[in-house]
Formats: sequence, C-alpha cells, structure tokens
Amino acid sequence: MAELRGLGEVNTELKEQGGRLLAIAVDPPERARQVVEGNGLEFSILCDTERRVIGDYGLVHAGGGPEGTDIALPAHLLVDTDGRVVWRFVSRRVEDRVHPDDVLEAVRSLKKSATAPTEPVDAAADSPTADSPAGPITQPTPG
Amino acid sequence: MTEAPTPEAAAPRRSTGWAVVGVVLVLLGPIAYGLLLGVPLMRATGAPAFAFMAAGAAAGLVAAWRDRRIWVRGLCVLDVLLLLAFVWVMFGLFALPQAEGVAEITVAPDFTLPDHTGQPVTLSAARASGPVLLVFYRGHW
Repeated sequence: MAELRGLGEVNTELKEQGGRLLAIAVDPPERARQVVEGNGLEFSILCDTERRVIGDYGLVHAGGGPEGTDIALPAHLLVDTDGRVVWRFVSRRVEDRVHPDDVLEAVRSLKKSATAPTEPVDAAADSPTADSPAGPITQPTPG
Repeated sequence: MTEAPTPEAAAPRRSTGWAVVGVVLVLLGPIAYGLLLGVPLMRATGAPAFAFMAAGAAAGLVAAWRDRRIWVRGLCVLDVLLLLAFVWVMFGLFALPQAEGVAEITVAPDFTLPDHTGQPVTLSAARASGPVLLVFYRGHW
C-alpha cells in the first residue's frame, strides 16, 4: 500500500503522455476509497474483488491475505497503446519494491521510442526488434 | 610509574562495553530497515540491516568470550536470537511465492473493473490514448 504514495510523479508523466496509472487490489471499493482519500492519491484504484484479473495476469498470492484469502502479488506492468507489456517488475518479498525513479525512467523511455518511428530511415536499421509489429501477439497456448 | 602491580589481572575480565555495543547494533538493524525503506539497496536486500546485526552479534560473542558474567552471556544469546529472527522474517515470513504466469504475458489481458468510486474502467479504453501503468498491490486491511 505504501508504494502507492511514491507514484505521484509517475502518474504526472503518464498523464502528460495521455495515459494513466491504475492501481489494482482485491479490496472492495469502500476500502479503496479510504486509501485514495487517506493518501491524497490522484489516480484510481481498481477493485478486483472476484480475483479474476489477478488470475489472468498470473499474480495470485494464494492464501496471502487475512484469514487465508487470495490477494495480489505486488507487481508493476507498463502497457503501451497497443496493449503490449513493455516493462515489468515483480516483487520477490513483501517489502521488495521497485524505486519510483526506475518506473519513471521506463515511462519516459516509452515516450522516446514512441517518437522514434516518425523518423523515417534509421529506426528500422538500428533496431531489428522494432519492426515486428504483429509477431509476438499470438498467445502461446491458452490451455 | 605505570609499572604498578596489576591486581586486576587476577580478577575476572570485564567486557561491558562490547556487550552493550553488541545489543545496540543488533537493535539498530531492524530500526534502520524501517527508517531506510526508501533506499533501494535496503529495500531490495536488507543488506545494511544484516550487516548491523551481524556486527552486533559478533560484538556480543566477543563480550561473552571475555566476560563470563551471566548477563553478558545472556545478551550474547539475545543478539544471536534477534539476528536469526530477522533472517526468518526477511526470508520466511516476508517471502512471496514465485509469480509464475506473469513472465509469459506479452500482451496485457483486457479487463473491466470498478474503481474506488464504483465507475467501471476498461484497460483497452484507458490505453487507447496513452501508456498505462498497472500497479498490483497487496491491499489494505
């Protein structure tokens, strides 16, 4: 929860790029509203009370919550406008958190790479991975 | 002048200073961990806290070896127990299970969830105009 307080600058940078920050936990809306108001957060907290989204993302900590409930594993995922996960950080211990400056750097680098394709010639030659738009989108095998 | 016969030599050796320093260092470890969580090295590994506590336990052992009084040896045992407890908390209690599925996700699965005001938010709509950072956290209870 405390990690949310350090994300003000990241939120501002995302907004400048037309995006947004979405925090996700399994808390009900009343609890999430307390967190937003109590910490003066300027972004939304989404309420995955049914644990469906944390399941889809492979981020379920089974029995990790109060009274053995399932909660989210702490993780940051940066999603670009095409829906690709371009950067991620998954915690290994409860207090293990990415530094907000590292998140900020990841978001800013997205801005740089977003402007790169508008420069016609060099981009393709320099980065062979950049010109494979539809390649990795097919999911491995969904069960 | 300093050649005075030393009656202390026969008396049992005292190592109060080492014992006290040991306990202080051992207690400083967790306190420093709490205060310095903002420092990436501390947060990710807890290494500085372990260094404090290991130094403290070492000082306690030196004291207990040189000074046979019961309270000095008791403090030494306490130093070592606190160090072990901290190791257990960091690597046992605070350890998280390995996240298996998230590493394979290259495209963020779409979803719609209510936000804290009850308004539905859809990822594909949110990311249409710019990048979205998803921050999963353990929640508040």
